[in-house]
Amino acid sequence: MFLPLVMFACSPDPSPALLLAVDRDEDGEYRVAPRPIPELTDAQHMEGALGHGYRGGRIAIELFSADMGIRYDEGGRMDLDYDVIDDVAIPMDEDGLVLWTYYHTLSQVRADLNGLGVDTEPVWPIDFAYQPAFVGMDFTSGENAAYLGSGVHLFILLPDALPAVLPLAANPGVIRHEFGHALFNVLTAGDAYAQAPYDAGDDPNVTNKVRALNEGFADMIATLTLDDNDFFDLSLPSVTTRDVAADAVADATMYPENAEAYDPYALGTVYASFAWDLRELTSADQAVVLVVAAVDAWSAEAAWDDTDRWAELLLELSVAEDESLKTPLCAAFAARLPEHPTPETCA
Amino acid sequence: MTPTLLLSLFCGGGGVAHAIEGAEHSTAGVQLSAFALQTPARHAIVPALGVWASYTPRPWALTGELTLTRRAKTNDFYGVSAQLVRASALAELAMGTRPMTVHVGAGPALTVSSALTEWGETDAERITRADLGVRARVALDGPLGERLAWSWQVGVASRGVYNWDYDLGAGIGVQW
Ligand SMILES: [Zn+2]
Repeated sequence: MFLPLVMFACSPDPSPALLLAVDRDEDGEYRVAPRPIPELTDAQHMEGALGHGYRGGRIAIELFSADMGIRYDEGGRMDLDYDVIDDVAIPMDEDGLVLWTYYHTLSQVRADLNGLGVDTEPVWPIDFAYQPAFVGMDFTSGENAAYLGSGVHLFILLPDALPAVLPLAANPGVIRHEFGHALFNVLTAGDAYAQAPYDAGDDPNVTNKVRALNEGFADMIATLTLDDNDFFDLSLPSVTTRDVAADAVADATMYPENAEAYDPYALGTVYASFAWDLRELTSADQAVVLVVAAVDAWSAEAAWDDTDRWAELLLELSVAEDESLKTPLCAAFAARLPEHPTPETCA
Repeated sequence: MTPTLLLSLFCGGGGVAHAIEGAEHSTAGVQLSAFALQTPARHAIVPALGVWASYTPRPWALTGELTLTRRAKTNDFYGVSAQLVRASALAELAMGTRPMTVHVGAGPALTVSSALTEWGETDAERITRADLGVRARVALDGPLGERLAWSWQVGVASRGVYNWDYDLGAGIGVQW
């Protein structure tokens, strides 16, 4: 009788007005600050309208199923330690900061995109697994965040391999990037839980090419919604290849037909850099709306084998909206994709 | 050389024989443990330092423990350092002969956790919380010569109902 009474007495307010989270401030600096997370109705157990969190659990390949699909066996309920002081929830553990940053970031990107007329609602809710075990899978990333599509529709957060840096799982850009993958899945597969058409075929080159655009699109969502061309710098200062304001240029080796061990990020960064070029000519908000519209149009064409077509469509849609973009954007296209024939819009 | 002489050479002095004779003994000492500390999402492995005292009128024993552990993480954005102090009292069954006594026991535990969370330029809050729970352990102890004692244990303790910590440790102390 006594123990439950003590626990109940200690349970903090489940939906505090503000919670500590890492965020990008108006001045462009990232810092920890009190933030509202209206969708998070239970901050202790990480449950709310955007999805529920689970601690642990296991992700396994269904070896005996026809499609060798991936399955998540749910872990336990999250149980965060915190106190509410002056209306602000303060965590007693790094996990609280990581998880509230994660949820706040999703809440923000949802508000940002919905506000711009990009419908993110089909993405929600999306559950997440915190530190799950991997069974029968080669998942060696020590510290990361990931989106699991292929019908599972789940975020994975692996928060703590590297000491003394901001965990990728608490990096607002990384979470927005992972959200970008979920949105890409919805835009191209039509449904959050649907198997994407480009994953169903036998040609790994098609799958890999779409992976490149998928990675690029995820970086576009992160860089454009944050208006930060290099969000990786917060967690991995040594990684400079993902800066979308740098000189990423496509060459033949970036396409999977010509590569042995395929790296989708190289071509993905070229696409994201082209989207950043558009942002330089317009605004981050305008660019992100056009980028999503271009994926929609590309998906409608089912041009899975031709991801450069997405860049052509972005050009087309942008120029249709503002004729004055034609000359500078055609120049940017030629600079980013020099081996690509001149698009019709620029002819 | 006869077998008897060999035996006495290996066994050395009379400390062990002396300890076996007593039906009751007491030990106290310092223990170093590996804690598997339940965090909101997993069990974090952290070192812990503790002291223990046991009074053992076989086949019973009473043991008190006080354990301290700490974990911290700091980066450019925030720092969180948390200390945990646990006091427990165990009623135990004590089995075996004095060279090695096996303790199996359980009892209440009080854990006080205190976390300092720092962020921004100067912001910081310290949160302290006390949780009642239960403690259970299986331990071995025995003499090391006439006055010293060793101990080894594996245990579990709860903070409230949902958080369960595990520990594995070894210690050295005195006996009388
Ligand atoms: Zn990605």
